[in-house]
Amino acid sequence: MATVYTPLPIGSAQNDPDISAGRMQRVNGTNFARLVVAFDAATKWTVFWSTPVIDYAGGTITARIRWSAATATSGVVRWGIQVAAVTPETDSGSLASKAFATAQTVNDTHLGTTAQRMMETTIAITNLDTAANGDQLYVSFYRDAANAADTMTGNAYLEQLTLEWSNV
Amino acid sequence: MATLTDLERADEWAKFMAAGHCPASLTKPELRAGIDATDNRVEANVASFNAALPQPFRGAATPEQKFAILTFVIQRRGRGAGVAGAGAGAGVE
Repeated sequence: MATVYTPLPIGSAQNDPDISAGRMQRVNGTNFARLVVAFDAATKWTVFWSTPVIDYAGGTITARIRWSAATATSGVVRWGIQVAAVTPETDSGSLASKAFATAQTVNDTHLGTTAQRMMETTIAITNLDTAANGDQLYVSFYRDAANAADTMTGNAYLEQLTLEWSNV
Repeated sequence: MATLTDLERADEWAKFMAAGHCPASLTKPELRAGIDATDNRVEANVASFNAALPQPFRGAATPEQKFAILTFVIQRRGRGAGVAGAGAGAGVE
């Protein structure tokens, strides 16, 4: 059994105008620029993706989060994720009112010293809305900035979000 | 005059972070303590500030005008200290 890696491209992140949204932002470095989603330090900002679940044997889906801090060199960032699974040709509900499964979160501590160093953490998603191989998966991803556990000042940058699962 | 409400302090705290003024090594609770202490300090010194204003200004100025003069002076000092955007406009926020 191998692992399937499904990167959710930063450039494909979607905003819901009814919800405070993470902001796609180009960060210019000395030698290259990169695209990130910026998440505020005071207000919960959210972005969304959609991806097919291909070659999925079932079980936990891991969300691998690569992130950096815009300015801070200490503190904790609390990330959260929710998914909603839809089976084509079977599920009859409207996508417009589809609900997410219960959120799952992780608190990740800044490793210190340098603001825009890359850090990595994971969330083992077990609230999968009965996702199955071939389903369409909708992903809600956010920084739980209003939670007391989130102590890092300034924006947090999502550098990459990847879903991982075991193949069939 | 009273201190800012918790919501108002939280709003200033959020704006301070969004403006990029926060020292990199501080956490959000540590920054918030700075906001709270600053507001408390202002509140504790309202009477002494008023007493320090010379006549006839003290007697002629309204409380709003006294805060305006304080704001103008602090904004100017902020510009002198290199605070981006401090008092850049002519008006009082």
